[in-house]
Amino acid sequence: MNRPPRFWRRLLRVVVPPGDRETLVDELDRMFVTRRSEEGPSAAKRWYRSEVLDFVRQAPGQLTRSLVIGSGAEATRAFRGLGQTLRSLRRAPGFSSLTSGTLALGIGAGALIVGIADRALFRQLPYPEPDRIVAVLEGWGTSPGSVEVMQAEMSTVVALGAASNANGMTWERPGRPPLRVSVANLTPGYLEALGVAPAVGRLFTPEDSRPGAFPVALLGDPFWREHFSGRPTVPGETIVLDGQPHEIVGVLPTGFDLPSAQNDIWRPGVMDASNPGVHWGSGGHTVIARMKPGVTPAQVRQDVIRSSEAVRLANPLWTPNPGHWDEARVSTLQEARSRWVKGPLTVLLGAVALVLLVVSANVASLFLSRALSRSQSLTVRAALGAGSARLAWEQVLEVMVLTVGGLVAGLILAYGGLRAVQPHLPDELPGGAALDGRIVAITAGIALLTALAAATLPAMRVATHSPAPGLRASGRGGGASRSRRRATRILVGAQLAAAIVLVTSGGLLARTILALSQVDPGFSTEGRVTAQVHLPASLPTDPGARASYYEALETSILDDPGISSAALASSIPFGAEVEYVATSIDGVTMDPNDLPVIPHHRVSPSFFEVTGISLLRGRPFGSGDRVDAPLVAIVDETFEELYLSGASALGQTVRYPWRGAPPMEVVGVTAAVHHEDLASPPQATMWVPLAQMGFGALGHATAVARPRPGAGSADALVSLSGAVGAFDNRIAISDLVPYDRLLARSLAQQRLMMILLVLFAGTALILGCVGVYGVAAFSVRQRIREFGVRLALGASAPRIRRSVLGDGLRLAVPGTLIGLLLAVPAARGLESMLYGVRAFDPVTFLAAPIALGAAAMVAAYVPARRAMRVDPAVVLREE
Amino acid sequence: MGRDGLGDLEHQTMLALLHLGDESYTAPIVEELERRTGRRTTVATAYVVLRRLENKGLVQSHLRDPGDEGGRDRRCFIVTPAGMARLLRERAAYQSLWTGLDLSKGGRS
Repeated sequence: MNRPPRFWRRLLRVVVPPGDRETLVDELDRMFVTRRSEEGPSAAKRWYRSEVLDFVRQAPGQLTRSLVIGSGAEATRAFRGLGQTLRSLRRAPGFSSLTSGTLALGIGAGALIVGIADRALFRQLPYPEPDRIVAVLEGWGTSPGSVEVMQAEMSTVVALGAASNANGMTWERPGRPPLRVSVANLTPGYLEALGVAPAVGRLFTPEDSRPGAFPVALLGDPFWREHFSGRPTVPGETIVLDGQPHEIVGVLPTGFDLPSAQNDIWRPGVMDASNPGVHWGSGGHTVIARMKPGVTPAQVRQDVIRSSEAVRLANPLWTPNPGHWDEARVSTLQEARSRWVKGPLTVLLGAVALVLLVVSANVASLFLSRALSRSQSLTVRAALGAGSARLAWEQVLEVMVLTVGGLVAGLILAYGGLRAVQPHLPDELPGGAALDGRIVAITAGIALLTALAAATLPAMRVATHSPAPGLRASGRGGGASRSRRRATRILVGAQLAAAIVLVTSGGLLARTILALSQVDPGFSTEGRVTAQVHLPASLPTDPGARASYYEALETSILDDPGISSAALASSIPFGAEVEYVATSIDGVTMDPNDLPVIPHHRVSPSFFEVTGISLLRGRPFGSGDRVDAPLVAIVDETFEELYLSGASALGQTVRYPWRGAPPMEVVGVTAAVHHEDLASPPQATMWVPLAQMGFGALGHATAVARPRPGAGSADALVSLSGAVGAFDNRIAISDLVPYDRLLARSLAQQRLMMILLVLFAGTALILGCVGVYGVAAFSVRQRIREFGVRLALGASAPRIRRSVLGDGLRLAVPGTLIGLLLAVPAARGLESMLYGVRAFDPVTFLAAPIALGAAAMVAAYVPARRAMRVDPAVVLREE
Repeated sequence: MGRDGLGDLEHQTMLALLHLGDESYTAPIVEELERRTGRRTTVATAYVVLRRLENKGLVQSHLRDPGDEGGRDRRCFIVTPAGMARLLRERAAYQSLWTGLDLSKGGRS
C-alpha cells in the first residue's frame, strides 16, 4: 500500500481548510511515499500520524485564525475567541472532561435508542406514497384462493396481494454443501401494491403464477451480494431449490424486508384453483393492498367485510361461518408493522428522555459551578470593560466546544452499543436498527440545544453581571447566593427523581426476567443440543421409506461416540416452526369451525427421555408404533384440563379435522409443556409417533441430542453435525444450537429491555450521585470556617460528619419522593411486559429509594470526611 | 510577538523559501528547514506559518500545475518585495545587535 493509513488521511481531509485540502493531502501523500522508501512503512506511518495530529492541534486555533484574519469575514470573526475558549477549557480538565463525558452518555444513549426506534416509529416505508399501503386482515392469514376473490371483489384498492410465511428450502449448490435459505411466495399484486421497482432484472408477471409456468425467483439484495457477488448479469442464471431449478429473474432493492427481513429469496405463488388443497388450504398468507387515492383504511375494511361473503361461498374445502371477517382489521402497513414493538420502543424513548433530563440537569449544574468559580475573573473583566455580550458569547462557545467533544464520544458509544444489541433485537423490529447521517444530525441538534439550555442560566448570570456585588463578594467568606443554592438543589432533585423512575422500571424488568427464568418449561434443556435436518429432495416420499430413513439417521447419530442419547421430532418446543393442528376428540362435542388448534409434534420413541419430559400415565411410544400399526397419540395434562374437564385422556380417540381422518388412540399423558413463550400458561399439546407419518411425509426434522457424560454442549454440537453429515452429506443442517439458546431467545426482548433500562438507571444514578457530591462538596467548602469554629468549640468530629451526611440525605428526599410518584405511571406503561411481578411491586418500590439513598450517602461521605478533618487552628488563623 | 513582529519560525521559513529558489511549496520548505537548522517542523506548522506570512503580505501564493511530477496542483509560495524589504530590515537589526559582541569572551569584546 503506497498510501498513508486511511483513517489518518480522512482525518486530515477533515481538519485541513477546504481551499487547500487537495494540495496539502497530496503533498503529504508524496512525503509519505518518500519516507516509506527511505525509513520503512512503520516509521512513515508514525510520521504521518504525527503530522495529522499536528494539523488537528492547529486546526481550531491557528488555522481558523489565519483564515479568519485573512478573509476578514465579519461573521467568522466571532470564532476568534475559539482558541481562547480551548485554552481556558484545557486549564479546567476536570470540568471539561466531566461535562463532555456527561453529554457523551446522554448523546450515546439517545442516538442508540433513536437508532433502534427510527425505522419502526419515525421513518416512512421506502415505497411510493406509503400512506396508501394497508395491511388487510391485519394479524390474520388467509389462502391464495381468498386473495383471488378479494382481488376480484374489492373496489377500494388498486392492487392487492399476499405473501406466504417464510419457509426454508434447501439450495443445492454445485460443489458446496447444501444451504438452507428462507423463501416467501408472493401472489400477483403484492409487489404492485408496494410499488417497488427491481434493482436488477424484472419483477414477477402474472404469467409466472400460472400453473405449469417455469419456476422463477427474485433474490434479496444481501443474499445477491453474498452469494452472487452482486453481479448485475444474474438474471437468467439458475438456482436449484429443493431439487427444482428456478430461473433468477431479478434482484429486489436494498432494504426490501417484506414479509420478513429473514427472506433470502421470493417466488411467485402458483395460483392453481384446480388444486384446492393448496389454493384454499394453505392459509397464513398476509394480505396487503394499495388504496385508491382518497380512500381510508376504514373504507377498505368495509370493503373487506363486504367481500367476505364471496370468499365464503367460493371456498370448496369448507364453509366458514357467515360474517367470519366482521372483526377484520385494516391499518396502514407502517402501523401494522410497528404495532408489536411500539410499546417497548415508547418505553425506551421515555427512558432516554429521562436520561437526557438527568444529563441536562447535570450539565447545568456543572456550568453553574464553573460560572461561580470564574465569577471573580469575569467580574474583573467586566469591570475592565469587556462587553457582556462578549462574555456571554464565550460561554456559548464553551458549550459548543464541549458539545462537539461529547458528540464525538457519544456517537462512538452509540455505535458500539448498537453493534452490541443488534443480535438481541426482536425479529419483529421493522427495518432493523442503524445510525445514519440524519440521526447523527438530529442527535447533534438535540445535544446542542440541551447543552445550550443547560448553560443559559450561567450565561445569563454572566451577561447581567454587574461588577460591584461580584467584587464585594469575592473576599473570603463570601457565600453562595441563596438563589444559586436553590437552583442547584432543584437540579439535583430532578436528577434523583429521574433516576428513581429508571431504577424502579429496570428493577421491575429485572424481576420479570428472574421470574421467567424460574418458570419450569416442562422439559430440560441442560446440555442438550438441537439441529434442524433437511432431507434431500430426491429421497422417495413414500411414508415407509421416510420412516426407515429417519430411523437410520437416529441410529447413526446415536453411534457417534460423543453422543449418549438422541431423538428426532418434526418440531420441538421453542424450536423453529412449531406445528399446530386442529384436533377433534371422539365423543366430545365441538364446533367444527372452532376446533382446538394445538401444538403437535411428531417424535421418535426416545424423545421424552432425551428432553426430560415426564410421562405421567400410560406408555411412551415404542418401536412397534409403525406405519402399519394402529395409530396412537400422547397428550399432556393441559389437554385433559382444557378439553376433557380434567378426566383422563387415556383410551380416548382423537382425530385430525379432515373428513375420513383415521382414529388415534391416546396411550399416554405427559406433564404440561410450554411451546413458544414462558410468560403465558402452557398450551394443550399432542405428540404422535414420527414413524407413523400420520401427517404426510416429513421433509425436515429436528434432532435433539445429549452429549456423553463429561462432554460439553460445544463438543456435542460438533458431534451432532458430524454424525448427520457422515450419514448423508446431502442433508442440509440449520439452527445448530444448544437447546437452552432457543429458550433464551424467547426471553430476548425482555432481557434487552432490562439491560437497556438497567444501563440507563445506572447512568442516571451515577450522574445523580455526582450531583449530590458536587452540592455536598461545595457546601462543605463554603462552611469550612463554620466547621472549624464548631470543632474548636468542642463539637465532636462524628457529629460534624453526621451533619454533612444529613444534609446530603435531605437533598435526596424531595427528588426521591417526586421520583416515586412519577414511577407509578412509568410502571403502568411497563405492565404488559411484566411477568410474575406486579407493576407496583412493593419490593422494587422500596428497594429503589433505599438504593438511591445509600448511593447519595456514599456520595456525601467524601465531603463529610473532609469536613470532619478540618483543623480548627488552621481555619481560625486564616480568619 | 505582536501583530507586526516577525517570529523566529517565520523568519527562518522565508529564508528557506529564498534558498529553494523563487518558487516552492510546503513539503520542500519543511525539508529545507530541517536540513539547514536541524529543527523538525511539521507540514501543519509550516502551512500555518506560510498562510500567516501571506496574510501579512510577506509571501504570496498561487496554485501551479505540477508538470512532469504529476499529481494535484501545488500551492507555491514566493517572497514578495515587501517580504524582501522586511528580511533586510531584520538582518540589519540583527547585525547591529551582533556588532561588537564576542560570545567566546563572555560578551562585549
